[in-house]
Amino acid sequence: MSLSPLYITFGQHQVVVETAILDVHTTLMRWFYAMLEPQPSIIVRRVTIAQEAGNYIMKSGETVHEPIREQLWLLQAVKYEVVMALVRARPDLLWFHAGAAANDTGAVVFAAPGGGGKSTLVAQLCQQGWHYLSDDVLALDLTTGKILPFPQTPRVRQNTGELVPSDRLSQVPKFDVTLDLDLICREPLPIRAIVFPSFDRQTSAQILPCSPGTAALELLRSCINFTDHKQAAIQQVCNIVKHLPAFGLSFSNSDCAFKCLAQIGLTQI
Amino acid sequence: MPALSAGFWQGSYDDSTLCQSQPPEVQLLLCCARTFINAATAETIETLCYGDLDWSRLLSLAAQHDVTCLLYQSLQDTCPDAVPAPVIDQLRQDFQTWTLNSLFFTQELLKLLQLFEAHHIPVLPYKGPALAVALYGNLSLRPFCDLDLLIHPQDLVRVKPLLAAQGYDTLAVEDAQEAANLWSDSERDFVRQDGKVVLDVHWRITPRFFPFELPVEELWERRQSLCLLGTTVSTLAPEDLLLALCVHGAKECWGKLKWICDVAELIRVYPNLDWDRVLTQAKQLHSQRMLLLGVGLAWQLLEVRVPETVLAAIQSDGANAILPSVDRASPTVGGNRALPALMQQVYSYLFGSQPGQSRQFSPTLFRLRVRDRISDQVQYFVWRLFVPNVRDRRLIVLPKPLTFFYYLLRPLRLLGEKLGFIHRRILGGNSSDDRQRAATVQPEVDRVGNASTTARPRCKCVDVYDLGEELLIYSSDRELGITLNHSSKQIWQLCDGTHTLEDIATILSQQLGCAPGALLEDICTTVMQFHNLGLLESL
Repeated sequence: MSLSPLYITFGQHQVVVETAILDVHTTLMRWFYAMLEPQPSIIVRRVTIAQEAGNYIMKSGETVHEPIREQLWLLQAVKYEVVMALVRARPDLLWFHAGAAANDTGAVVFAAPGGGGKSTLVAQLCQQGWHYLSDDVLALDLTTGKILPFPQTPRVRQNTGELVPSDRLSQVPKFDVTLDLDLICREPLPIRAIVFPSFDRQTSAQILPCSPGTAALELLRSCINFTDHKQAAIQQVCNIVKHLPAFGLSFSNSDCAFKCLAQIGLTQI
Repeated sequence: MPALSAGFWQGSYDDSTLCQSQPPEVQLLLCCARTFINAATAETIETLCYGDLDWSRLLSLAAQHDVTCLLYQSLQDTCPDAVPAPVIDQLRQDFQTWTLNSLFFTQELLKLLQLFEAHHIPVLPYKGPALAVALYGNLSLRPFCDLDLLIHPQDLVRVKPLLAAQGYDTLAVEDAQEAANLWSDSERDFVRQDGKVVLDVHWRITPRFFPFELPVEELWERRQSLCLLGTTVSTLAPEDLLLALCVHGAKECWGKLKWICDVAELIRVYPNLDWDRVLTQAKQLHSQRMLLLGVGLAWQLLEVRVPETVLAAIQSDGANAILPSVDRASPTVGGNRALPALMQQVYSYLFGSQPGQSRQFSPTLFRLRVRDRISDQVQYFVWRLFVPNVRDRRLIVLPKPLTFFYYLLRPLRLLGEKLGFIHRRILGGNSSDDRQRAATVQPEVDRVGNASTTARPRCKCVDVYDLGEELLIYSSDRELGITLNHSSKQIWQLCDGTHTLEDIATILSQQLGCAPGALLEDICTTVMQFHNLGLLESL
């Protein structure tokens, strides 16, 4: 059976993923459905996935990776390759490990390390009618100060009710949140506010304002390609935090977190 | 003539808890803070180095107590392989820095001595380079940040124009007014115009409120010679020096281990010290308890060999203890014996692990407790509170018939300083007393505090981003980003190489409407943090 290549697109750049393995193809389609284009444009990376002797073999560009036995690990490795290839294709942008959702007044950025609750909060907002930009990776245009959507499908970790160490986060099952295509944001948007979420099983939801200095450092910590820009990155981040509200949000329950965001007027559509 | 050639005893108090349960970092520091290390101590050092040690705490303690160079030398000599490479690198760097610093100061000292000699002004250098060479045999092992010279009181008016011609600034005081200052004060500070050298010119070993009324003539007669960078210079005789060190240490509440090291090294370097003369003189000068405290600390903490008679005097001290124990928080050693309790207090002050511990310590009460007699304590209070000095005379110039008003003015001036209405610097606060006061405010920042009037911190060339109330700093060479809150931002902006820490305190106190003294500690801490982050070009 021949399966069509997946052209995963960010702006003009594409990563093409080719595989004859139906499960893998289907899952990747689900994970990137809002970023797929039917035709090739500027292909920056070609990823192929094959199966040999019960192992998955991924080739990214000219690099053949170590065989992977588990399909979930393979899929996560492919996702990482795709995202990083697109990030590297646009070094002019400042990339953040962050999610964002937007309403008519602009985007709210959620910046946090893995397990902080970015996807959970973004998905919650989108279920309330907000537009989706990304749940994990965001690009900032240094010239306009606007953020660019990277609408990979949000994947939310199940709340296990237990405290999970960071090195075991990847083992916690995630489920995909399928959004209507008309909720997917396609245009660069200005930032309206920045939230630094942190998931803590033992805390009740609390949101507190962040000083510009703290916000700047937190944002810079979330920056994926800081070394490409350094001073320019700091300058732009400083410009953002000087003029925008920033908050720290700790929560254990996404409904309560949503109420916290509502209290400060961030959830109005 | 050696009075006690035998009878050395190296026991310990039967009930002493001075050094019990020391953290390993303190144990190691004490083992290393000496120039002579015997086999047993070397073994202890090695064991400690291979044990569970917080190396950063050790470095911090060594810097706090100005014994980094001794630590470096001792570790190098005993077990360099047991020390993590970054630690030894840091120590080596500090050692080299101090060596350069010492050479610089020594050359300046020799230049000044030559100048005074050419003008037939007798002068005795003490502390600083003379002390380093006399007691440690090495300029590098004993850090110092200023120069101290002892002159005859009547030579002050001759010294002033000479130093001015060499580019030294000092208080503008009319020569006609100096007679009163010579009577009431003990020293005058001179600062080289580039700010790199502070010279304390003393005509008394200690301030008047501390008893050490040894005429300079007598000290001059008993002087000894030593060789500084190939030049023979005179300095205090060892017996005088021991007493001077112990009185100075007591005045500074023994807030630094290096002062105890000085006493220990002196006793070790001069095995034939005339102890009879020292004890007799201390008794005459009502400084016996201060002497015994200094010697006792050196014996207890640094295991120096002390004559039995001196140990007996230490143990018997306190039968006539005047004041009760000050340190109620920690039980005193030896019941009502004054010296063990004082030693315990000093130890807690030096190495107390709790941040607030040093703040519970009252320097005034300590200085009272080290006095021999009630009359000495009364004298201390009277001098401190009522006897005017140069600062009082600079506050208001009164005609001669009204000079008795200075006695009323002084308590008001002190109150004004306390409340922040008057700043000491304006009146000439550049004395070593003030520098040490800044240093004793918070021992953990004393490398900065020590240099509070001389250090002019200059921030490195880093990227600075203004965030309104805050500041973001990015050091590209260290790949380090930090943010400063409003207060730290203001301090940072004043770290321009032209403001001293006291200047910064003065400027910020005017903005905040509080006393500069209340800010100095925080400023020192902040500048120390800048320094530790590698954000300062110079300190």
